[in-house]
Amino acid sequence: MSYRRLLRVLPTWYQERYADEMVEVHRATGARVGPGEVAATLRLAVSTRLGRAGRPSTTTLWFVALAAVTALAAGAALSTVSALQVRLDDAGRGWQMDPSGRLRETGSGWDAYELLASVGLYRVAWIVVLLLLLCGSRRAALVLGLVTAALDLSAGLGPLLSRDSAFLEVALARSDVRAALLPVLALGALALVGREAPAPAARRRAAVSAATVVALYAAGPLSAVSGAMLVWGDGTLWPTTAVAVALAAVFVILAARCLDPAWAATVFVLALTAVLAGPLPGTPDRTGGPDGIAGNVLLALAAAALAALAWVASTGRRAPAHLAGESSRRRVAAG
Amino acid sequence: MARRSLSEQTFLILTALAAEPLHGYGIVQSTLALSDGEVTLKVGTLYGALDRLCADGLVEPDREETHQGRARRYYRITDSGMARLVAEAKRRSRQADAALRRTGVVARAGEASA
Repeated sequence: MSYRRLLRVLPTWYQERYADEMVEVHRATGARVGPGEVAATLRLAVSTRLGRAGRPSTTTLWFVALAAVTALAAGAALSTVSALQVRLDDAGRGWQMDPSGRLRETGSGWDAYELLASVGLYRVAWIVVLLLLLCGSRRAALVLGLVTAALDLSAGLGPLLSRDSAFLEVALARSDVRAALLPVLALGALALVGREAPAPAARRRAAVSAATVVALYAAGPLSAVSGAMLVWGDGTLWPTTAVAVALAAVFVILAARCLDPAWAATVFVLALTAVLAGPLPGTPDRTGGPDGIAGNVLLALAAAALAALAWVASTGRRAPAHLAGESSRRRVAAG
Repeated sequence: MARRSLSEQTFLILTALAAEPLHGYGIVQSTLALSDGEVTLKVGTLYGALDRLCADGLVEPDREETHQGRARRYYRITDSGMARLVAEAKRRSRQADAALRRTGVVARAGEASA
């Protein structure tokens, strides 16, 4: 195998920039293309595609944090609305025993404090964290997010630390640990963003948040699609599979050509989180039975695979930011 | 948080560039000489390391020259790259001294010369 042919595994932008130079160096060393060189080139192909030698870009970190906090805020908003509806339904059903011993309707079934306390005040704070991020205030969002997550975590761990922990159901404890993954993901991404790194444009921040809400809304019907619904009249699956594969290919091509690699990377990270943590806040929880769990995991894995493909394809086309201005450097003709 | 130490190959690349800007093949030759023939950089390894070093601001492209009709890109070490190299060299030197003292090599060498 020729060395130039081996270099085809590298991203397009990398080949355009360095392939001639690498071939020249390899020719000068007089070495053959052995397993060591093949392994080194494959490692280079992976690290250049992952961006900055494997580290996520600042934009990716911002997008991951925004999407995760949007999911948490959506979950908090849904819980609040749901609790509000229950209280409104029960508003006229307050009863009190009068001195004569008869039950008397009071009509005061709820108050605002009791409502917020039932949902969990700390969860409502995720909405404020989201607003801070949309305004570009990373540090304020990080501080409030840490406090909120600490309260959330302590509420979850409370029964574990109490004397009654012996009676705690293992399933509930596992659920609490899984629920902590999304706050950890959001705060970890925010903490990793450099202090001096500029935030993405306000329009892009709003777009990520809006896209997350749409994705959460769409996840409900998608997760309800069962295998039986995909079977055609003659009992075969292939027509539906063909359509799904074609749609997936269109998604990957469009994402690779039109979107910033950070978008695909964000979807990839969130999909893997969904595999580990179960349905994200705001999506219908269909984990009641084995079929539901399998459906959610398969959906998240499919999203992760598609996003990974789009990510790899898109990072192969664009040079990283630290090389963007290199073409303007001086050239010297030495003959 | 403690800064990660440089790999041997990265350390040798920075050392090679500390004297003067070099092109890819020049770096391969220099690292081979610096390591007494022990480290032969694979081309893929060299460019992966240069990519990371450029991204971290420790190395930057210097100039391009045309040599026998082919473009050669030269790389140079930056100020922060030089500071990092000095810090890493001191750290490795301290560790090597400690190892030699612990194994008695330094003391025995001193006795032999006396």
